[in-house]
Amino acid sequence: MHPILEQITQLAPDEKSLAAARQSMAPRLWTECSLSEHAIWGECQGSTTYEVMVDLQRFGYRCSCPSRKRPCRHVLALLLKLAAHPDSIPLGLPPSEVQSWLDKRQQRKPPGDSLPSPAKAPVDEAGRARRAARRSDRVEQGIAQLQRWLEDLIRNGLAGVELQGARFWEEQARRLVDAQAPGLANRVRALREIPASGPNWPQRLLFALGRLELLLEAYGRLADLPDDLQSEIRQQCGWQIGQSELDSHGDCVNDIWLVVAQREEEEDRLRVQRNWLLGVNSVRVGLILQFASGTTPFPALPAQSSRTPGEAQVSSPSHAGRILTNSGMEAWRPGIAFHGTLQFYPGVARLRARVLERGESVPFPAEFPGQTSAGQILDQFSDQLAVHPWLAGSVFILQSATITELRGKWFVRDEAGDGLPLSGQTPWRILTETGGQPADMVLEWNGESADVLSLMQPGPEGQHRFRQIRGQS
Amino acid sequence: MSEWTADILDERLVRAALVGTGKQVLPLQGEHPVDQFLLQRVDLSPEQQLLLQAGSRGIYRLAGTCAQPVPALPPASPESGIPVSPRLVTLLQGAFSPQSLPLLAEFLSILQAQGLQFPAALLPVALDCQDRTRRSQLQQVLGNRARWLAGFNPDWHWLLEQEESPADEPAWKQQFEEGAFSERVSALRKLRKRNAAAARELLQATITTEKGEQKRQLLECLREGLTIDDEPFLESFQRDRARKVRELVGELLSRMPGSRLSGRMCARVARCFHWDEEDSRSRGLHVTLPEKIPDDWEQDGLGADTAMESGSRSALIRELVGRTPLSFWLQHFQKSPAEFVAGTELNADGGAIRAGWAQALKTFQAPVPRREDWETALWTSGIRQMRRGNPETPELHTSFMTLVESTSARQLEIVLTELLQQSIDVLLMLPVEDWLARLTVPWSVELSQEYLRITRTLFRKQSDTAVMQWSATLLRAALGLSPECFDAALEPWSLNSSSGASWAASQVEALLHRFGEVIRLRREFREEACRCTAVLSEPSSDN
Repeated sequence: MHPILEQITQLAPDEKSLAAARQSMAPRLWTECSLSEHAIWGECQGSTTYEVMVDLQRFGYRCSCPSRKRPCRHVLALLLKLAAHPDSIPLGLPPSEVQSWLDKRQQRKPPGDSLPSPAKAPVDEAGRARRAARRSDRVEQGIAQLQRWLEDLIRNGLAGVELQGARFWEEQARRLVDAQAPGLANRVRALREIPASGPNWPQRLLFALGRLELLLEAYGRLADLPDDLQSEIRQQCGWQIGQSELDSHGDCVNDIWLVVAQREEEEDRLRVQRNWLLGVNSVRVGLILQFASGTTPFPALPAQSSRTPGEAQVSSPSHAGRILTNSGMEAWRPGIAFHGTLQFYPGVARLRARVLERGESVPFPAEFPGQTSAGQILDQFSDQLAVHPWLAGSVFILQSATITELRGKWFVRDEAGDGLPLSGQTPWRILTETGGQPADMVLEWNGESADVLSLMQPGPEGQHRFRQIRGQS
Repeated sequence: MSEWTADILDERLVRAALVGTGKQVLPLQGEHPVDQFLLQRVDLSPEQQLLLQAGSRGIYRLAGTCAQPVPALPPASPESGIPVSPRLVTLLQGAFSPQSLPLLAEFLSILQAQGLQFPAALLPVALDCQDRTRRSQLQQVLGNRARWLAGFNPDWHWLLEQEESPADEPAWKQQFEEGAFSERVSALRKLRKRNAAAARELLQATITTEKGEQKRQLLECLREGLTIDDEPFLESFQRDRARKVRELVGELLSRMPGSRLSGRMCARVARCFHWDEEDSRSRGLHVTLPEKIPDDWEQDGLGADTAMESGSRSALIRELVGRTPLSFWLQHFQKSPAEFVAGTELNADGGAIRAGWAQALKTFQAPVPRREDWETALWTSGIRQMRRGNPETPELHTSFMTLVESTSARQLEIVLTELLQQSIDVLLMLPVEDWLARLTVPWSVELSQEYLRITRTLFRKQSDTAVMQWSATLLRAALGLSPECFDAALEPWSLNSSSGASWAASQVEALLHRFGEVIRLRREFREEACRCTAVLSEPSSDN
């Protein structure tokens, strides 16, 4: 169960506590923040470090701060974080102190209560269904409200929308956050960048609004759609994939995984690191998302498992729920390769993944699979759009590509001479690295323009040089 | 459906959305495959219908993007230098940082001397460089890829400037006539370099319409390639309203060998100066100035600044001597530079005369007969004056300042080495840190050894303000010391124990720490560069 803003507001002992909690939400104050199916915990930096934990199943909380208010600002802040940015909180197994607190809470059951121990406790299906229905109602209310807003926008006309300030879009986004649809909120926030951003902005804005309308339409017909598409649409709206759904519907792929590109972005006070992985044998592309705040480093690569790579080939209940720790390990960076198993999130895109099992590191290979022509990229992207019309972009590797210029515009060019326009990215770094010679380029294609993220080029004596082109945006 | 039809449909849709369905509803026409589906949905509002149409067409567009045939770029020619190691790239990158000490010039000269390639990864940083001195250093080491790259970005064209062809001349002339002022100056400078007469003629045609400061900046371009052919044109500005223009023209005409102005200056010197051989007490050079400054002197810019700190007489002497070619003195009086300088030491006007000669050394940068003799004589005299305890004489300081600017780096190094060999006392009275900054890096072994010897002695024996004052030269020395002296420089330093734990002592220690860091960095760069060269020259293991 995830709390909603209204519930948290009601929980607060007074207005002051709520205001203080909003201040304590600042990502830089939080470390070791993690979420399991039944609890959320983290450490908050106040005058000292406070350990904060919340039992989401049998609602209760604990904080090591000396405040006499219950719940204190730190507990409220943790719940607010969960409500506002659920995706930014990594899944994890409760550490021992959190687990023992949860166990004690379980044992402190009222006399006569015959509930079994938590390990064997049957899930309260009725309660879960009730909570899911409640959230579903909220999301639907949010969607209905968004629908009205979109219709008003089109009824009044888009002319003049470029004069609207950020608040116009932000207000609508906030309403969607309150309605527990953060995915839709992010889409609305992204819209505000389009007006007056170029000569063709009315068309781009209209098409983006249209795609949003398609998503709302699809959500309204969820029950008629296949499971994978349902899951994808729910994720697009902001529903989180729970551990159990991930275990039951997420597919596991064992392969040699190459980290082929990385990008860091700012999203609503959080730093998001996107790592694109390519499976050498499966030719699958996986996206590992990581979140950090302020100057806090991103979580590292999971520790190398002692298990031999072959053992992880098939997903099994024994390790499906295993969470890998992040501390003191190798950082994610393009150009590394390892044996391992990725667990892909359910949905039609099957792009987002997490590392389920990491085997031994291997040298980055001199060659890797990819597309040989721009046409292949366009065809594959079309296929992807056919099953996932809300796809923002996809990563491809164009082999033996070069950069070229035509009438002041820059293109990435395949061996046959066909080009894809480059995005606003300046081509200097790519030209510097390649000197105009062909290279295998890892690029993100969004249907209109390409962004070269990294490249690999043959070096002297058969060695290959891997270079990251885009790091931060 | 053709692309053209799709464009028409999209345009109609966008127009309807901009106007708003409240004012105009776009009926579904069934031209698009999705329209058929939407026609069946009677429950949709006009707004929903339009949005769903737009959403599906947007996706159709994204899915239907076609690749465009594009020509290939010719690749860069291969580099000829030896590739450098990643460590060397890191060290070089640090030297580009604005916070870095000025190590880049030395690092670049090492790359050039060892035949190493400038690393490709640093090309954008190098090409973005705005500093003129750095650019000229970079021009020596940037290779084929940098030149290829510079061709794509107008901001990087500076690298190709030396490679401009004669065909550029009409373009420069056009830029001079039509461009912004900075572009006009730049175009004129380029043209002057290529074709001095053409630049002068171009300027001649338009300069009368320019205002004072602009006129000065344009005339300044004639400094390059100055010849006697420029004389009539420059003389026409000798009575210009703007003082800065008159001063510049006077300086340029003075520098011009064989100019009428230069001849007039020589004639004035011949009239006013005489060498007294008779009396041993008054033996030497003497000056007799006219009681009133003649009009023709003033027209040539002499006596314009009479309110000078050293008085009008001294200022006038300094100006007259400073604008007279040094070769005239040798020819007219038949004395050596050492005799001339010695012949002014007992003279009350001696300081002004010597300051004038120092100024002449600076003004006449072109080969001056017996330049080194003049420099040595003037330096020796100045130091002798300093020792005599007359350091406050303004002429002396002016002479030193002018001498430092006009003396070649090599000559200055010799002077400083001699001064260090003698005593540090005189050096402590002089702005040595500024002088050291003018030397070529790395310094000679002799100067480096003397610097280290005298600094170690001073730090060991003294704990007063002299140590604090001298420690200001440490960072300059860290940047300049000869590589042969790196080991000696890195040996532990001992400070006078009586300085204790004072603030001054801690400052000196901090400077010594930084000194060591810089020396180690320079040593590492040199060693790494040698390693890169050695790797290439090692015989292959297969052979």
